[in-house]
Amino acid sequence: MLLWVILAALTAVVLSFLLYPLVVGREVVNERDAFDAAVYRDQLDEIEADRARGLIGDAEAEAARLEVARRLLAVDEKNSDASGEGSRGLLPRAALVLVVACLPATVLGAYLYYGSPQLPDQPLAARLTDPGQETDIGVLVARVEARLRAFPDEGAGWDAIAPIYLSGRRYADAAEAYRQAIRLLGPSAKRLSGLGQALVLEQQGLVTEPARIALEEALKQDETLIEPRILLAIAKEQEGNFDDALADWRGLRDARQDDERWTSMVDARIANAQARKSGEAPAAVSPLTPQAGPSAADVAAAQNMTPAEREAMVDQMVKRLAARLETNGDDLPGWLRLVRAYTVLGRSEDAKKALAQAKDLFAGNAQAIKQLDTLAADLGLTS
Amino acid sequence: MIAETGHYALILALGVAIVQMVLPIIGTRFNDPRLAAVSVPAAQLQFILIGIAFAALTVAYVTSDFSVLNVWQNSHSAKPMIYKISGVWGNHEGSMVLWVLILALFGAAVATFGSNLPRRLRANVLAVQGSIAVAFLLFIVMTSNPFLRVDPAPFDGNGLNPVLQDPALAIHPPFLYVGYVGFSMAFSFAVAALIDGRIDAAWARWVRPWTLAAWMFLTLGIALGSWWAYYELGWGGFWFWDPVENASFMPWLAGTALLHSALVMEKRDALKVWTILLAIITFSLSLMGAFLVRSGVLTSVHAFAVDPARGVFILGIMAVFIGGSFALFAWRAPLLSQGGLFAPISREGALVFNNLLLTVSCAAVFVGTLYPLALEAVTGEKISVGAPFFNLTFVPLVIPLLLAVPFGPLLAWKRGDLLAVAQRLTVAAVVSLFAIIVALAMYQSGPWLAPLGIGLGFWLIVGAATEIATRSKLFQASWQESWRRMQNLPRASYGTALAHAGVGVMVLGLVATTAWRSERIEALAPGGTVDIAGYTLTFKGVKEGQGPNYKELVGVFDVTRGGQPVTTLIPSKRSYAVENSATTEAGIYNAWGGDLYVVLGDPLKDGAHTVRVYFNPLVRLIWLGPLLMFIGGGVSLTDRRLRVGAPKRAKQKSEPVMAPGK
Amino acid sequence: MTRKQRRGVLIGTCLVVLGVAVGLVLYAMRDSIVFFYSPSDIAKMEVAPGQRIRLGGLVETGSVKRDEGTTVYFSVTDGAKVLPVTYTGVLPDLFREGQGVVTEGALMPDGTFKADNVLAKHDENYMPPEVAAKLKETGVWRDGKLTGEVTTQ
Repeated sequence: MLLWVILAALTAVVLSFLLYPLVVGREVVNERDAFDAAVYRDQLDEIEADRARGLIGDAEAEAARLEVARRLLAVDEKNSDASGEGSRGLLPRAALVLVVACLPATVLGAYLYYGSPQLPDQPLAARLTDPGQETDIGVLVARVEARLRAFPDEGAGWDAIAPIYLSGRRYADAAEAYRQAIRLLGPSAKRLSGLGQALVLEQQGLVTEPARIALEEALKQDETLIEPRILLAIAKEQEGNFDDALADWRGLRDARQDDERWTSMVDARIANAQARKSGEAPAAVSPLTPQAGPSAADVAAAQNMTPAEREAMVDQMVKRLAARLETNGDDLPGWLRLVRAYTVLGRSEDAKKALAQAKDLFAGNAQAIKQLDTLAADLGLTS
Repeated sequence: MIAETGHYALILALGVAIVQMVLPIIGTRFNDPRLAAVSVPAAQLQFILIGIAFAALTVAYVTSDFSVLNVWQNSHSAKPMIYKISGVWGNHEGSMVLWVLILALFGAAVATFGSNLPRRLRANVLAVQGSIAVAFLLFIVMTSNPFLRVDPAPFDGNGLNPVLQDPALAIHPPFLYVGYVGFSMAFSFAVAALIDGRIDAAWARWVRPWTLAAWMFLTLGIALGSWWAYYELGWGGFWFWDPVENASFMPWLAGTALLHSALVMEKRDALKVWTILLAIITFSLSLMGAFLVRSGVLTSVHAFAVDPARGVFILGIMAVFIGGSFALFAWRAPLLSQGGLFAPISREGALVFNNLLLTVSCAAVFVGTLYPLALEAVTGEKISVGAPFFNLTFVPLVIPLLLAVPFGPLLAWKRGDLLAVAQRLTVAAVVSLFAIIVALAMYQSGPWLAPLGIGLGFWLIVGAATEIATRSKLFQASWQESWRRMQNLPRASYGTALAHAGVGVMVLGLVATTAWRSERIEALAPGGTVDIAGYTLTFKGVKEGQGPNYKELVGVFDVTRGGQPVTTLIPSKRSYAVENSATTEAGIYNAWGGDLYVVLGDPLKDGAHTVRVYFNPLVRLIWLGPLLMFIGGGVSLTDRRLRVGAPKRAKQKSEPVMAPGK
Repeated sequence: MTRKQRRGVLIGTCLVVLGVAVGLVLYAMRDSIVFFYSPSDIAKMEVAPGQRIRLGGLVETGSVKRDEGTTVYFSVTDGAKVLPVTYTGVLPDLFREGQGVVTEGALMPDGTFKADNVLAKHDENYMPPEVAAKLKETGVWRDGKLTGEVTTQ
């Protein structure tokens, strides 16, 4: 609406200034020759000035003066018989009506044809800091998705939409978006951390190998990030490496000593880890971070179970994973997770078997073999 | 909303331009002053409206509003601010908006400061100016609209060609456009005179300052472009006779001729028809330049994206304006009163000689530029006409002109005394002879013509100084007398001398650099050295760096001379991720004696690199010369004699100058 | 001098200058014009060794080799024929295998091309129009895209 007011005002102002001379008439003056005469007089003055300064000789000045004087006389003669006859009234009024009637209509028509009055300005800064202002989040996401389908190589688009997926619990999409952003824009701590979180949450809290790598990389780039540290501590708990996990938790506690809520949460985790280390039933733990929302709750739920129940649940997860890999073996992260899970459960024979199976499957893939070997070495399965 | 307001303002400007084109012509035809007077607010409003559009586009660039198609195509959020702004005219659409903005600026200037012009002349001039604006605004709105939108908006732009991300290039197009478009004023005045079938006495007085201003900016614009090519393209060259360079050089040659013939017209009331024709030719060449650059018929680093529709449209504009104005000229020129003839040996004669050689050399450049296009269109055969052609044609034509330059200002109007002038130029001749001998002694190698070229440079410089010395009676009268005379000399004389000396300075630089440049291409491993022109460069190795929107590989070279450290040069190769492109940044050590110019080439085995080193003697003078011409033009422009008389003022002339308090 | 004589001097000078200019242009046209060929043209037309020409095409993928110093060897192809090129110096930034290139120089008696100037334009997707036209003839380039016969990128 404001746009139309501006455009209307602009048009009105322009028209009134433009057509003002048509309304306020001026006398017809045949002044051309008067202008000519003025120019010649100026020239005469110049010649005189040059002569006075000694720039030109007297004879030269005289010759020039004579010539200009001749032109001046010619003008004066013409001037006397000049007459100004102009048309009156009708023409300006016709022009006025025509312009007022046609100009705004034509301009508006052309503008409506070429312009997009419905589109607001979309400066980048405003879009990035406050995407919600534009429209509601669902519409925004839909628009970005449409955009990315057409132009899948826009790293900035993936970068913008990834956190939205993450907070919208679309973890698989979030992980994919982060991967694309990393591919196109390079790995930044923020993107790696996001990718790690998305991967963990996608696996209902289980910190898989790719997630761990991403999180460690993120931490390497930016030590101040909290989320990777929490998730890595959890990863260590999941591996049964409670000593290191405790060290991590204590470090995290020290990092934010002033925050009451923070310290109480981390304290709970510490107590929990200590309890589990000594084989006791763990205490209830509150969810960790907002991002960790649902699956952290799952994890917490799992931790509320009796050890037997929990073991059964983990067993089920591992069985599901093993079954899936049996039918579709082309999933390196899956294999890594399975090996790790078997080790955590103390079934090292199964772990070794899975490892051998995986190595067979990925025989041609040096990268994969290397990852598998590294994991085996980490878990002490090689001996 | 800002973008849409800009878009609307642009279209409204088109509407206003149509009014500006039509009403004043009807007004002068039917002698109705009210219709004619509409031209004044129309020209002013047109400038304001295009200014709004340009500002809106700039805002879109600065805030990275990628919902504007043009911004998305040519900008990127990671670009430094200066290149976001220069990106506005770093592309076809935006540069066209700048083009019409400058056109409108000139129109508005005539409207605002033209109260001392005859009303009919002013109305006609503004109507012609309006018609040019109509053509180009139509072109912009219909084929090159910078305000088209994208929905949904992309997240980031495509970036600006990295070669264009450079300070000199950021400012060089506006200068060029002021030059090109400035010649539209001379064109409008010429066509206005033809429409009315009469040339007012004020004509030449008005045309000259406008042409001079346009010429100044074109000079500087071309020089900046050449300087940019020198340090950015990494070939160490400064002029390539590239068709796009020629496209800016031809209007410059014609404009230079126009500048001089308008002088004859003003002072002597002669060469009127020729001056009118030259004004038309000059602007036609400017239009042709626009066509060549934007239609895609040429290939060049400078050329904008190819779009046949645009090419056809500009071809249409060209046909209408060039064809129309020449037809009008053929039809109306016989009506114009002819000026008188004059003696061959006179200031006028010298200026005619100047015009003759300038236009003929311009024609030679024209042939060299367009012949390949014509040949390809006719026979399909592809050829390239490069520097050898222009060296064989343009240079021999210009040398007699340059030899004659010092004579011109010393000759008297009407009837000059060649012998007396030659006597006055003895000093200049002796100095240049001396320079030739010194050059011969210093450089036994190199082309034999080069020392003569150095002599020519000194001939021009000392010749220009001779004019000032002669007119102030230096060494003839007492020091005090000469000093007094120097202060009294009109500024135009100093402007002329400066500009002519600037040509000499440029000739010195051109000759020295082309004749005596040294070049080495070596494969250097870290620790390796190159000797060139007394300097020793030691390659210290390469390191990696990170710029705001690029990564670079920087080579480090320690430069010593006679064992003394001089400087460290850091040429680099930059790669731009967004644009997926690369540029070479030369390492340049500037000194008055010449530039040391190092380019880092491709990596070889074991950390070695191909390295290209140039020594370009006196190369700075190539750009110092045009700078002097620019300053000379500016000095001339401040001369009170370029101001135009008006009837009102004429009445006051007889009265003594009023005291401030009165 | 009479009016007539003055006019005569003016017209005479104009004619002399014009004549000289036309002569220069014609002379330069004969001697300093460089023709543009593709490798196929050269195979067909028997271009004399030593004549300055421009050679355009695509840099054949995998053909770029260097010696110990600053000389580079590569091949230019238009899809039909291939011509080996040697060049000493610094290659332009956007010289890449599989991309368009224009080189200026002369054929050697052994049938290779010795370039003293290599031009690759400053745009990733840039294809010199001369090259594009020649490639269209041989079908390697269509609708602004390489059809993949030459490049493996």
